[in-house]
Amino acid sequence: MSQTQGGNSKAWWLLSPGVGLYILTFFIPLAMLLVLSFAKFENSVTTIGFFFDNYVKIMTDGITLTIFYRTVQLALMITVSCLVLGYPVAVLMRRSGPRARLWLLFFIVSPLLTSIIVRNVAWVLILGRSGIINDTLIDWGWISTPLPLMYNTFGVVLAVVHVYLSFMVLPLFGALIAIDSSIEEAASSLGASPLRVFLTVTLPLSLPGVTAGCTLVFILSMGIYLTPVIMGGNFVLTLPMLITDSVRNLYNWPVASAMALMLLAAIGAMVLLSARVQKMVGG
Amino acid sequence: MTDKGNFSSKLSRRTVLKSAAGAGAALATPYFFVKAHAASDPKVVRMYNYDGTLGEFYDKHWYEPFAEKFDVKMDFIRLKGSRAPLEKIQAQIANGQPETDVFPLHPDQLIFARRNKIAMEIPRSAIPEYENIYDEFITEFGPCLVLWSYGLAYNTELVDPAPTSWKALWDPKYAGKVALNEGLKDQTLQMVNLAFKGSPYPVDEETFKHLSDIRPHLVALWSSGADAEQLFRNGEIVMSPFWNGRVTKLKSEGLPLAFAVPDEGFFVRHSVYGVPLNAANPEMGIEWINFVCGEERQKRMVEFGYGTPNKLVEHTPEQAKAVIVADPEVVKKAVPEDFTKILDNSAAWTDMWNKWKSS
Amino acid sequence: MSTVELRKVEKRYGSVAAVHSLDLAIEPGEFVTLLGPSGCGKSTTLRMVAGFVQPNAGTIEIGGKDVTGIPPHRREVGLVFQNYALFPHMSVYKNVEFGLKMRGVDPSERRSRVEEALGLVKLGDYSERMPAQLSGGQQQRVALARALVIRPNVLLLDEPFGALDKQLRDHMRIELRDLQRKLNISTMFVTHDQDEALSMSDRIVVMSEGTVCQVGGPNAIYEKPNSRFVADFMGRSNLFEARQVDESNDARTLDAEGLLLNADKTQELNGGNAIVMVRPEKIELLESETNRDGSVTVGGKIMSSVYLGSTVQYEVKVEDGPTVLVVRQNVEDGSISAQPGSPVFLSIPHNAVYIIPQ
Ligand SMILES: Nc1ncnc2c1ncn2[C@@H]1O[C@H](COP(=O)(O)OP(=O)(O)OP(=O)(O)O)[C@@H](O)[C@H]1O
Ligand SMILES: [Mg+2]
Repeated sequence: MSQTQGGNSKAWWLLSPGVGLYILTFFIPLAMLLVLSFAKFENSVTTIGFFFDNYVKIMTDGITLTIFYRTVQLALMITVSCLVLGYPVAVLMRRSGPRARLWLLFFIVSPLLTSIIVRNVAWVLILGRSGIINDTLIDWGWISTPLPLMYNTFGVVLAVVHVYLSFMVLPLFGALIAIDSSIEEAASSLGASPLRVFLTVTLPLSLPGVTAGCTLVFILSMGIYLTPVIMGGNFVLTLPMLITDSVRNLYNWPVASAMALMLLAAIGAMVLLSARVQKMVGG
Repeated sequence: MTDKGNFSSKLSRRTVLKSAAGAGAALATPYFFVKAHAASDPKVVRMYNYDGTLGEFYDKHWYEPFAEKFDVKMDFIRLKGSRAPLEKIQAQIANGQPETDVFPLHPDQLIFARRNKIAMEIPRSAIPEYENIYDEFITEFGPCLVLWSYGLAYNTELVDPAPTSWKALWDPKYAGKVALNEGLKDQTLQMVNLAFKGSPYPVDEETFKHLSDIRPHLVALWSSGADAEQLFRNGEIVMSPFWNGRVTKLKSEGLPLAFAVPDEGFFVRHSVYGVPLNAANPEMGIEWINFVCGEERQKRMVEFGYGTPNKLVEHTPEQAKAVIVADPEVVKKAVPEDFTKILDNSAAWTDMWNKWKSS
Repeated sequence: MSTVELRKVEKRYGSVAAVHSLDLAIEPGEFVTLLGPSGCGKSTTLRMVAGFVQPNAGTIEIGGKDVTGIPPHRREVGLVFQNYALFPHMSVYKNVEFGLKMRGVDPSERRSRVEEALGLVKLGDYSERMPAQLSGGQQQRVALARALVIRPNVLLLDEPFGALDKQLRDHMRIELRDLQRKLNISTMFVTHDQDEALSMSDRIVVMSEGTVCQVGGPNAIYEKPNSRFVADFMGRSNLFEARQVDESNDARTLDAEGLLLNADKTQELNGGNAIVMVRPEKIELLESETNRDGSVTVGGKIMSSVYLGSTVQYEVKVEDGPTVLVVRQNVEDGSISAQPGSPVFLSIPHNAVYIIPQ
């Protein structure tokens, strides 16, 4: 790692297309966002300047902060669910032969290949008032009125986990496959039961994958916008939804910019935290 | 040093706004640059179009015949939902050229356009067909077309008796089978007021108290006509505020739906068709507006299910029933809306709305 | 009672038998080496004893207990891998302590046993290091300490020195063997290196294609291989097809591809033909024809000589006979100036001629 630093400085030029793209698509818009966030929006008209109105509004309107916390909460729920559901899948993938592994991979990635509309229709068929689950449970006489399985937080988390699971499973699988199985065998021969082998060897050695997967899923989840609209029946509010609403329906770019920067700051904080943790677990 | 000083003094407020808005637009739609800088060929007219059957109607009856008659090519940008993206259009205008030559404006958007000067003023003389349009449907930016009504859509098999009041939504009989409109919150709020206070304003604590009462009954808050349609289709809901055109369409597909005009009153809205400032081809845009104001095109719209401001169009009894606004008795129940109030309060109402949702 | 006993053990992968009907016993304190070419089933056998591979047939006993269906963590074996397999996230101390913790040994005893084990492998000062901070040899010593500290019934090692350089390997052999003797622990050692097997083992098990070819002490395996395969595998040898042409009271005269050899009559000859083995270091190289008692002397020509430091290896073409490999100690007595092409005489003692039983 440190050897590369002594490398030929001319090689940096190789980075320039990537850096250029970054400046164009990230830093310039970011600067604009910053400028806009200090603009004023009054009587439907935007005035550029140095006003704190937008930040004051965000902090004091009694709703933006609440929604921000809920967004973080939702992202954490999604991340934890992905971890709990994804870990066994990653373990299974590691243990399978190449063929089964490919199938599992396809299975996990497939939600990314279908459009959100198709997925939503499918979810209605499964989770709706007269969907497969409710119909079956009513048929069996287990319940008398349909369970509220969608148009709430549960529905949103489920639908998002369905899509983002692959972003958890792939880093986890990468970390697990890198563990030399003879290390686990050594633990086992030293008297560790399969559970203890997992807890004392497999799990700690897969932590870099856990951190990577959690960071990725958390960041992605902080940006969810369409799924809560569709699967949450609009009852589940996230900051990205608020941003979109501010721009689309209120034409208020300045306040939307301030909110976007707030979201970005939260994500930045998460990335820093993850880098720290990654260092600690030796990834 | 001096160079630098010069530069910063030249960096006027307007340039910053322009470039900031431009960058915003670029972020929102990466393809915008390509679209906006497409050659301004006088033979090409660029339009927005809707999804679904209304979009098909436009293609067939308002776009294709025009293209044929004037020997031009028409390019389309599909809209998500029913509103033109003014936030984007404004940025495009600030930065050069808007992506279309004509845009539809909801009444509140019209006021926004007026305040931000993003629509072209069209003199009456430029549109000969104005002769047959009722005066109150002509604005300085263009005519009010596509008169749609906002009432109660309900499932005729599952809702009995037929609702005559907005309050039917609150009926415990239909708990867990009704939905409200999130896309047009202002209309939802006015509707609640109409139901319980007899007048659409003011939007206040009491309004939200009634919303809280209905909240446990709600399946969802839908945000586009397509979403609501889906909820009706798969039986998730049996009743919701809705606009008449979609109901007419679902009925024609055999769904047991009907549109009721509640006794407390209902809302009629329209779209103003105007030409955005700096449009590439404003002449043909105006030509098209004149074209669709004509009797023939308006007749087609009535057949489709939305009302017309054209005096010459005659309705069959069935059409009159479907378009709602053709019946003077029904029109009496239309409640006037204050769109300036709506626009100016939208931010405050949104905050109140979001608080209610998160409570 | 044997420490480890395998009876008719069989392991098949698909239709291929990795191990075929294998019988083997390891006595208390014995050092047994499994030796054979790559893919012959050594690791599979070892892993069946450790419990990571389930045999398709047969039984395995450890310490007199049938462990055939018992999982690895309840088998009381100490395992050492070629790649060390230390826990990378634990210190040396924690690595060695691991097995004791799993067994619920109380902390004070744990400490003294870990220290004792690290002392045994001379790594007492390294207990706080992480594995990545150790050399390969040190890591393998930690692995050894980790396996020994639990006082297993049997120590299993699968090519433990394969990743080390030659010098360190030689050193580690001695160290391991000393340790094994000191602790008197039954050991099963896998290697494909004959020198390693010969230098360390009480007994060697030569395997080929999943079956045992020969079991015996290093001397027996080297001097008296029971098949051409073992003879060939255990170091360099001259192997000739031979036919008996004459017979006296105490010797047989054999025609080995044109070379006439005398062999002790104590060796059985089944039928007229046989394969005879002459180890190259047992043949003497002479400048002139000298007849000695109990040897045959034949003339030939040096074809090549390879200088190997402590030894020199010659190929000698016998007149009207085969090419014979000869290895001589590199002692500076100027006895021979063996240039390729120069004539030479070979002296082959009777007792160097070994008839491989058919
Ligand atoms: N998991 C497995 N699946 C299929 N075949 C296997 C498996 N493990 C081993 N084999 C086969 O069994 C045979 C014996 O393998 P084993 O690993 O025991 O050989 P080895 O003697 O240890 O060889 P080496 O000296 O190369 O380590 C080989 O042919 C090998 O390909
Ligand atoms: Mg092996």
